[in-house]
Amino acid sequence: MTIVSLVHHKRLDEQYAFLWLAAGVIMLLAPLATPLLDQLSKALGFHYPPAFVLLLAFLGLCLINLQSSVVISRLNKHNKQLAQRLAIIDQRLREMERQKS
Amino acid sequence: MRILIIIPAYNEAENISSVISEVYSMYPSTDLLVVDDGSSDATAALAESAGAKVLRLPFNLGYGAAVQTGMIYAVESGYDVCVLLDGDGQMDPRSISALIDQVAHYRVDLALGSRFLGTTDYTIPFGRRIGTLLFSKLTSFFTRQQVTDPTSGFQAINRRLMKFFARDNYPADYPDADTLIKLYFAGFTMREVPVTIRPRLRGKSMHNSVSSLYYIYKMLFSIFIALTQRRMLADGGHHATRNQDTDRQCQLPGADDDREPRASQTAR
Repeated sequence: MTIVSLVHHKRLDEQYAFLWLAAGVIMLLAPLATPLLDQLSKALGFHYPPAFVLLLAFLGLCLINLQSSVVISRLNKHNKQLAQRLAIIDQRLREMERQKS
Repeated sequence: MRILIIIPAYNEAENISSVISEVYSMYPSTDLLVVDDGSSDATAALAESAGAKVLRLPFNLGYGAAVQTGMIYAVESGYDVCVLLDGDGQMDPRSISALIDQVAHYRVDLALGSRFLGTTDYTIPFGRRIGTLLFSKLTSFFTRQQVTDPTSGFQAINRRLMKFFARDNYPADYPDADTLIKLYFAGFTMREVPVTIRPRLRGKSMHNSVSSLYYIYKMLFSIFIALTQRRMLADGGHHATRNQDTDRQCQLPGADDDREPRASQTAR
């Protein structure tokens, strides 16, 4: 609900809401699949099934976090390029104004 | 040949005027560009009144990004060679001609000023000396030539290499051994030149704020990345261009043509 509301108020892009929504849906549906999860964790050698569930949750959060870092890096680069372009345009403008006067 | 001296400066109000006037007194006909890296003091205004062209970055981007801004400007304005000089007055401008000489007459892409080959009358702090030694060995190993001072920010760069750096191949913080290894992989040549480094005139060094452990980690990691990019770099250094947005910057009209920007300048 929070995610949908954030997207609704345009404070979160649909693109970045995807992983969070997926996480939410999985959390909602996970209790229905308890027997399946139990079997799966036994098959994978977990003695304590909740540990397996926590591991999955942890990996999911790591994924979301990693995506954020990638996005930050990209924005950082764009920010740098804009600042550089701005400085160059600013200088040219000054030069033109100086030549005019 | 058109030469641009690029001086990246961050809060160098105390030194910038004397650095500029010293350079002008030795090289009266060269153009001087100060890249003010979001200084909070009067660096930009002082540089302007001392007669330099000034690029004002709206906020602090880091040493490498400031230098890169200067190189983008140099490429677009049709300069053939740029010289990097720090704004703190530690680099003796007398060494500039030796650097330019290498690039202009010996067809070297990068002339690197080395304080270890030259004369220096200041002692390098112990920790930094160890770091420099490590990276000088690494750089020498990977580039198959003797590099004594890979941290040097006193350089002359030709147009071809400026274009390479104006694309995405320049780190925003401190270009160092990783950058040298990258350009070697991309097929550029470099040569070290002895230069004179003096004690700092006034103010604090920009390196004080950099935690050296982080720096060593960062440098080792980016050298590793450079090694993984080896093949892409050898294919013409176009690894950055898979991102269209970064490429757009250097494909501005005239950016790739030597004559056009000059023509448009005279037209103005």
